[in-house]
Amino acid sequence: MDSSHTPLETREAKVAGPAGPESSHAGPQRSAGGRLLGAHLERFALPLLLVLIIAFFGVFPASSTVFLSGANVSVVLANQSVVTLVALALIFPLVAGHFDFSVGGIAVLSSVVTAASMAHFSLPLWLSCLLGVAVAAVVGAVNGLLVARFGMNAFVSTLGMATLLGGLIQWYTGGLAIIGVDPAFTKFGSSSWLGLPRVVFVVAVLAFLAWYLLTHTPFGRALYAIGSNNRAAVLVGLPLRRYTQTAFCLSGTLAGLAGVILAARTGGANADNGTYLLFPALAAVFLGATAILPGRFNVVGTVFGVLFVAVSVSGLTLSGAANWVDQVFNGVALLVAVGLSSYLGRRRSGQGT
Amino acid sequence: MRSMKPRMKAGALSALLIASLALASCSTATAEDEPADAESASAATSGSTDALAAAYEGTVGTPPTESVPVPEDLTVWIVSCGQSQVTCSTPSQAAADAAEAIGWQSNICDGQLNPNGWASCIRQGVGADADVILVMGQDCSSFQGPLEEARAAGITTVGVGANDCDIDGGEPLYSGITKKLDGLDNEQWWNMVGKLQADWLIGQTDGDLKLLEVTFADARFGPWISDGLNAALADCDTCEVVGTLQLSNRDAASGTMAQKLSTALLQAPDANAISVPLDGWFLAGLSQAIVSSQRSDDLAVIGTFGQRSNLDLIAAGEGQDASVTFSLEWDGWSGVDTALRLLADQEIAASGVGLQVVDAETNMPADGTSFTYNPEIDFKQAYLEAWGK
Repeated sequence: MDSSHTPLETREAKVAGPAGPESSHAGPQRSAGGRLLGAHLERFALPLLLVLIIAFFGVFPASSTVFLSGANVSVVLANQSVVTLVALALIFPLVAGHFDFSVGGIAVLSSVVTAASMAHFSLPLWLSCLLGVAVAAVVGAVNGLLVARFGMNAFVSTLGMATLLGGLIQWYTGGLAIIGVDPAFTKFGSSSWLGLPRVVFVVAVLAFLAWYLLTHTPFGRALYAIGSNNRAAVLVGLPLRRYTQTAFCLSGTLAGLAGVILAARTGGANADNGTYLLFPALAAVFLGATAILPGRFNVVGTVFGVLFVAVSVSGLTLSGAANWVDQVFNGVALLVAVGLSSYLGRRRSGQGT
Repeated sequence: MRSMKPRMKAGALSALLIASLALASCSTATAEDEPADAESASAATSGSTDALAAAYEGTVGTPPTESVPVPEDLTVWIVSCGQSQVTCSTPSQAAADAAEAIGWQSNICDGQLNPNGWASCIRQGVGADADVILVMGQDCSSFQGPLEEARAAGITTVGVGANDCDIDGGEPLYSGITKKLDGLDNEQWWNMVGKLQADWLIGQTDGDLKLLEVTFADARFGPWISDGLNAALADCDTCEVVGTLQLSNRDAASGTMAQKLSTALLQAPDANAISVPLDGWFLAGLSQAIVSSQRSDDLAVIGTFGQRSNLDLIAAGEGQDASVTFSLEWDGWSGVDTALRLLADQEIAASGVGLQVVDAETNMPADGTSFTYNPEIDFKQAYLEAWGK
C-alpha cells in the first residue's frame, strides 16, 4: 500500500459518518448561532451559487428567452448524464484515498464494446450493454488488484491503465467512429419520459444508490475511514484490501454504465481516450467536496458540482460569450469555492482567519 | 476483428488524374540501377516543370451565381469543432459573419475537439430552438443521436466540410453537406489534395522523388489524401516511397510526434521529401523534428490546409516548405449558402472552394494576411449578390 496520506489535503483526519461537519472547538467569542450559520453557509455555498447563477441567466436579456425553457433544461441535464456517472465512478476510489485516472478511458472502452457488439457482431441490445459493463468491471477489478493486492501507487497505475485503454481503443477502431447500433438504443438515448430525458432517470437512480452505499452502509463508512487513515482502519479491523478492491470494481462498473449511456446518446461510439470525460468529472468531484459534506468527497455535492459547471456553460453559450469565458469562469468558481470552504472551515474550528 | 476498408474508387481516381494536368512520366522505364540517359533526363525536367506549374495553378472554382431567397430573422447555431484550433474557429467565424450579413442571429458553440462536445453543442442548438445548425468539419458518424433529434425538431442541419453517415454505410442524417467543386465528391476533392502534393514534390525533386509519407487514419480525409498521392506517384517511374509513418491525433496530444518522425527519418536516410496530411502537426512537433534532423535543406516538405501560422513556417523555412491550401473562410460562407438553398428546396450549389499549392516563392499572401487564391476571388461579394444583399 502507499502511505496513509489522502489525496485531498484539506480533508480532516477523522472517521466520517453521514453527519455533517462537527463544530468542535469554536472560539469563546463566537455565538452558537454564528457557528451554525457559518456551518450551513459552508455546506450550502455551492447550491446557493447555483441558484444565483440560474436566476441570473434566467433574467439576463441575452439568455433569458431560452435558458429556463423546458428544452434547454432537458439539454443541460441530459448532456451531463455521462460526466455525472464518470464523476460518481471517481468518488469510490477517492473516498478510499486513491485517484483513478482510468475512468474516462473505461467509459469510452465500454461505449466501443457496446457499439461494436451491435454493429460488428450483431449481438442483441441487452447482451451488448451487458458486455460493455462487464468489460469495464473487469478493468476496474484489475485496477483494484494492482492497487490493493500488489500495493502499486494508484496515481501511477491508473494513469498507465488509461494510456493502455487509449491505445487499445485506437487499435480496434482505427481512429474512426463506430456506427450501425440498434435504432432502439439511439432512441433510448434521445427520448424523454415525463418531460425529462430518460438517461437522467438512469443517472438519478445510480446516484441515489451510490449516495446510499457511501452514507448509509457500513461499507461506505468504512471506506471513508480507510481514506482518512488507512493504518487506523486496519488497526480497528477493517478489511482494507477487500474494500479497496471493491471500490475500484464499483468505479469500473459505474464507468462502464457511463459508457453504455454515452453510446446511446451518441448513437454509436467514437475513438477517444476519454480525457474529455475525466477532467470535467474531476472538477465536479473536487467542487462537490466543498459542499454538503465539506472536506469530503460526496455524491450530492458532486451532482451540484456537475450542474454548476453545466449551467454556467449553457448560460454563457446562450449569452454569446467568447469561448474562453466559461473556462475562466469555471476556474475562478472552483478556486473561490475551495477558498471559501477552507476559510469557513478554519473559522469553524476556531483557527482564526 | 473489423478490417479497415478504405473505399477505393479506382475509376474515379483514374478519371480525376486524366482530367487534371497530365503528369509527364518522369522518364521512360529503365532498369532501376541504370543511370537515365540525357534524353530521358531532359524529359524528366520538363515533366517536373509541368508538375510544379500544375501544383501552383491548382484547381479552383467560382462561387455560385444562381440567386436564392433569404428568409428573414432566422437563428443559426454554429458548432465549431474546437475554437482552440484555427482550422475550426476560422470557418465558424466566417459562417457567423455571413449570417450577420443577411440579418440572421448567430451563435458559435465550442465543441472543444471531442465527440461529447460536438454532440452537446448540437443538442444545445436544438434546445435553443435554432432554425439552422451548421457543424464545422465533423462527420455525421460521431453524433448520430443528436442529428436525429435535430431532424425530429425540424431543424436544417448542414455539415460544412464534413461527410454524412452514408459514407459509413448508414443513413444520411444531415439535411445536406457543403459541396466544394463541381463534379468532385468529398473523396475526390481530397484525392486532389494528394495529387497536388505529388505534383509539387515531383517538381521540387526534378522527378527523382524519394518520399517519406506521413499518413493519418483518424479522419476520412487522411486515407483519401494518401490515395490521391499514391495514384499520382504510380505514374512516375523514378518516384518511390521510401518510408511510411502513420501518426494520429493522440501522438500530437502525447508529444510523441517529433520523436516518431525523427526515428522515421533515421530509417530513411535517402529520403529527399516528406508529405504530411495535416498542417497542424508541424506545430505539434514535426517542424522541430525536421529542423533538428539537420536535413531540412535537403528535404522538400509539404503539408495541407495552409493556415497563417504554417505560412509563416514556410516563409521562414522552419521545417515546412509548402502546403496545399484552400480558403476556410470561403468554406464557412458556403455553409450558410448551403443552408439557404436547402431552405428554398434548391439543389446544393458547389461553392468553388479549390486548392492551390503555396510555397515561399509562389502564391504566398502578404505577411499576416490569410490565404486568398491567385488570382484573387471575392467570394463574399459573389455570395451577397446571389443572396440579393
